Amino acid sequence: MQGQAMGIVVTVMNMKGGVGKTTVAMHVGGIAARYRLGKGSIKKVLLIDYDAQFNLSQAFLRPTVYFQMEKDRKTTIAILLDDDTNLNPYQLQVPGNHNPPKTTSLTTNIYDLRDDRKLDLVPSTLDLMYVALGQSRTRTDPIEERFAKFIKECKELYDLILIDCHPAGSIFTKTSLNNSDHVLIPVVPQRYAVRGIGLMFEFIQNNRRGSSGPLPHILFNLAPRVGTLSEETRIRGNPNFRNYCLTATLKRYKAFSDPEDGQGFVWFSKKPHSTSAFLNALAVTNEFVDRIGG
Amino acid sequence: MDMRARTKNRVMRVLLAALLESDLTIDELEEFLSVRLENSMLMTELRGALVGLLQYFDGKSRGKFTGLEARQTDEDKIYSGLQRKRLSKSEAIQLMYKFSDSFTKQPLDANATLRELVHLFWRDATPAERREFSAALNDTRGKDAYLEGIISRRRGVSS
Repeated sequence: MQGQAMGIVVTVMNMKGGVGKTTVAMHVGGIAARYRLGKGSIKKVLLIDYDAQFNLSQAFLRPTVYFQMEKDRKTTIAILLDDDTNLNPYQLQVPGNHNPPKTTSLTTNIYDLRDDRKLDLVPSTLDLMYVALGQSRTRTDPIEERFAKFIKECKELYDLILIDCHPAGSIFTKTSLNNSDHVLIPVVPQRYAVRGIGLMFEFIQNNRRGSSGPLPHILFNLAPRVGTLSEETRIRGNPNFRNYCLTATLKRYKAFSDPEDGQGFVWFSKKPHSTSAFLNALAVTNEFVDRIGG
Repeated sequence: MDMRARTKNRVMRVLLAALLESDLTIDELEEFLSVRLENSMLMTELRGALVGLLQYFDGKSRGKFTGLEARQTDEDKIYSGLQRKRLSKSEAIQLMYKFSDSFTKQPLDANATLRELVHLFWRDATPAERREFSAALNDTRGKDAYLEGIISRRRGVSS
């Protein structure tokens, strides 16, 4: 695979908050790396934490490891900027250097498994917030180019790249969507959810580069363990969305919110209902991997 | 015999709370209000039931009846602390080992329940070990290394 851009890039996002983007990213990524699913072509998985809240990083890394990586600038901000010593929340400094660091210099290994399987992570940092807020007086092309080049290299090294993306419309969403093949949209079946999906589709459409763009996939998250809520039925019945909905839904299990400091994942946990939660996440990931041709 | 004002207030409060918390309908409460309590059989029956109940608890607690809700002992606090932390049995054993040298020497029954393990720990640990274990379990402040890192990080920027 070396030298060829083969990896599949997926942005996990929804402009609505609290829908479980990070939960979905960590479970889909973790399971896809650990188990043979779909056609079996996915073995090496990279998670990119592209949200200033860095919750994905907190789920997988112990604090000491994380803060050392942050100190060493081994976080997503290094993809976008060369220098973050004088970050200004009102003024984004566009770098002169159009080349990002090498992928391997920013990744940390989470699992190294048999059969050449592995899960790596590029952690995020609170400093990304300054990039999100900062207005640039010049064009942000260099930042976009750096991100595109970084993802291109990731595609040569990994079979699946999952980007846990900042929710609001910003340079993050733009760069992430522009470089993705698919968008996984977690949706909580509740009031306003249908309109939220409508907005997301509109947003994806507007951020398309050329005629092609990432293919959306709607995943219902926090669904009841028994039965279906009327909001989910409505979305599935909508001709604009029905073909994009995954059949499997991620159910409301406490076990999905347990991971912290690299522990508590459903594939390790022995807590009550963790097996049911694991089988649920496995079914979701299996269907998703199948849909993206992995 | 007249009831003391403070006792009367407490009884009134408890009875009202119990009635409000019940699933009695408005109609049933109104029916209850329509009874002339001073002359009715209702008060006699209620009194009889309460006397029987008090005698039952009095016999159980040897005159130390202080309330219907059992008091939580220090041993109970350890048990509920372990439950609150949602630790598995093996994780709980590891933690007990960490806090008590005496407990480490115990051969443990693999089928022992968490409650039984806590009892063994309580029996074997020194008072200081018990105190430390209980304090560690019930420390709700819980050190959050990420929060501490974020705060010190901010301080670093401003200094």
